[in-house]
Amino acid sequence: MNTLLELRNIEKKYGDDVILSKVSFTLAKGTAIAIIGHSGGGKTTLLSIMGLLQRATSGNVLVDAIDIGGLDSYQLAKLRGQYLGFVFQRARLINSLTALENVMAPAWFIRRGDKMEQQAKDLLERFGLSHRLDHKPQELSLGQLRRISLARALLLKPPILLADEPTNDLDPALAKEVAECLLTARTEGAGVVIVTHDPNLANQADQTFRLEDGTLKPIVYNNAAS
Amino acid sequence: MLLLIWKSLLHRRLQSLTIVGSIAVGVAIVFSILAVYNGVSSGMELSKQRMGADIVIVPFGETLEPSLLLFGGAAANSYMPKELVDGVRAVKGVHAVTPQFFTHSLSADCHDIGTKNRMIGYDPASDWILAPWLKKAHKTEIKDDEVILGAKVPVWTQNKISILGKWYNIIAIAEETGTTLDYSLLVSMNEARRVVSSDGTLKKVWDRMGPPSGLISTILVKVDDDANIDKVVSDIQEVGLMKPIVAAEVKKRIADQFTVFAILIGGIGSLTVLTSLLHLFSRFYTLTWERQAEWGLYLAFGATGRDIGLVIVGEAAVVSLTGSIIGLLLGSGLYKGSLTLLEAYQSFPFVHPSWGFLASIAIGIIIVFTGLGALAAWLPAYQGSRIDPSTVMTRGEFD
Repeated sequence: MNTLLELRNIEKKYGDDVILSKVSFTLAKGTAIAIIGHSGGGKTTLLSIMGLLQRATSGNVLVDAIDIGGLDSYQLAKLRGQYLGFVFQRARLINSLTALENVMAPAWFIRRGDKMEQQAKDLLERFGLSHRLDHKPQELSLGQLRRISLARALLLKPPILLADEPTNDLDPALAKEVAECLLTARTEGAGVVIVTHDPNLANQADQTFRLEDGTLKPIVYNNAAS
Repeated sequence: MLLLIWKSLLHRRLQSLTIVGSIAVGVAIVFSILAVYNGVSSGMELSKQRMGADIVIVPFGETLEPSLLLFGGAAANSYMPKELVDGVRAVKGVHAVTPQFFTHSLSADCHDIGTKNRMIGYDPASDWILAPWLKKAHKTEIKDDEVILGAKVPVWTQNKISILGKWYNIIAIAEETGTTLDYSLLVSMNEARRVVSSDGTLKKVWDRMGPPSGLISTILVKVDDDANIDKVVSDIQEVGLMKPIVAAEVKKRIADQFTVFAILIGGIGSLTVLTSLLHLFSRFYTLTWERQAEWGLYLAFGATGRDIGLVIVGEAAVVSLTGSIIGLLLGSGLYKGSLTLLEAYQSFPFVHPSWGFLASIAIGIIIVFTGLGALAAWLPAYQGSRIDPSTVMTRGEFD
């Protein structure tokens, strides 16, 4: 099956406020989807629901054809560890850990930390950070933090990669580098969802949606899914 | 995960050290109190079991602390006529009597053994007080060149000891009593009298009371099981000018004093421990909320609520364990200091707790304090494990 993630008629309300209404889409292997929309429009909420970080008020979320509706928090955590990688709006690094340890952190929770050190080093080398392995986040630049955050998301080769404003606040050169890294994951079979304000980044996705008034509308179709 | 716990504690070094310090103080107090309490309890128990004197009689007007007289030979140069022994023996209800003769402390002028030891003359024929402490067979007589040593009298040769320039044959070493008896050198009455007779500072005493050969320092009395001790005391006072002290009252007063002391210090220790635990609870409760975004991040990685709880409890356990170990080291020092004080004032009989006992309370304290520390973090851990994972998307930067 090619579908990695499917949302069916997702609705999210906070009290009487409707944040998402009848949102549906599918994410196939090797494709990238971009979601744009104005601030406060519910993009982060939608990404949280895709990332199994919060539940929808109604509708269905399927990960690799598994409907998560009946899963408890323990099962959801296991599913996140197995299927999902996150690139957050801010780097979200742990200040007590070094760059290398930050990249390895996801592996610790799935008990694979001892086997992943070399992969973590390889990723940091790929992002030009092999000389910063033992540095703490507070000793690194914003661009370096973002690259570490990206390396962390890629470490376990998650089938689904979710990125929340990954190029926000970055200079054009660094934004391009981050975008390339994210989109390259497609070639390894991952499905990528990027929430962004950056039109350049959105244009590089296979499909782009605009989140408006709680609904998801396709606005651009760039190229066919590979 | 252990690395995560360790790194997090190091990152918040000052906070961690503060809690480690307060736990260490609590553990130190609890450890030293338990060790001292055990030593004094054992000493009291041994004294009750083996020191059979029901009444201690001292010269009238003697103001020495009765416990010092009861639990060994006080360095008291107070004397009364030896004829009083027969008078006391004749009192109805008196089962047995034995006299003792105190010399001065040997600390000032004894260059041979050079410590705070004192020489006591005793009568082996009538004695039942010292006999239970002797490892070898009880002697019914002791020659003037023979000595029985208390357990803590330092000796460098196996069979002989030089005291004030005279060599004595060591015929026995008493078991540890936890009292001043441990520092005593027991000789015949004649020998003790000979030693003090040459002491010029006591010349006024001999001029007033007669030569040492006719004197004793104390009479230890055992009464019949069915005797009314108050009546016996009253009858003894009729015999002559003496001051009878009822041993049970002294022992009870000492036990009461120690109980108050233990409750007071133990209470302070317990309060310190409680404060440490509240501090620990407060710290982890606050941290749980401050670190919501961090927990959310771990949950996004695939950590379960149980993993988050383990990180929080693990941090608390490591802090408590470190505090306990440091506290035990501090407690050992505090215990040694307490012993020095106890030995200096000899307020309570004391028998050193065994290494086994000390090791077992050390292990017990480590287990209990680490467990309590983990328990204090339990509620924060429970709350941390239930944090909404989406906080990682919505919270600001985290520490």
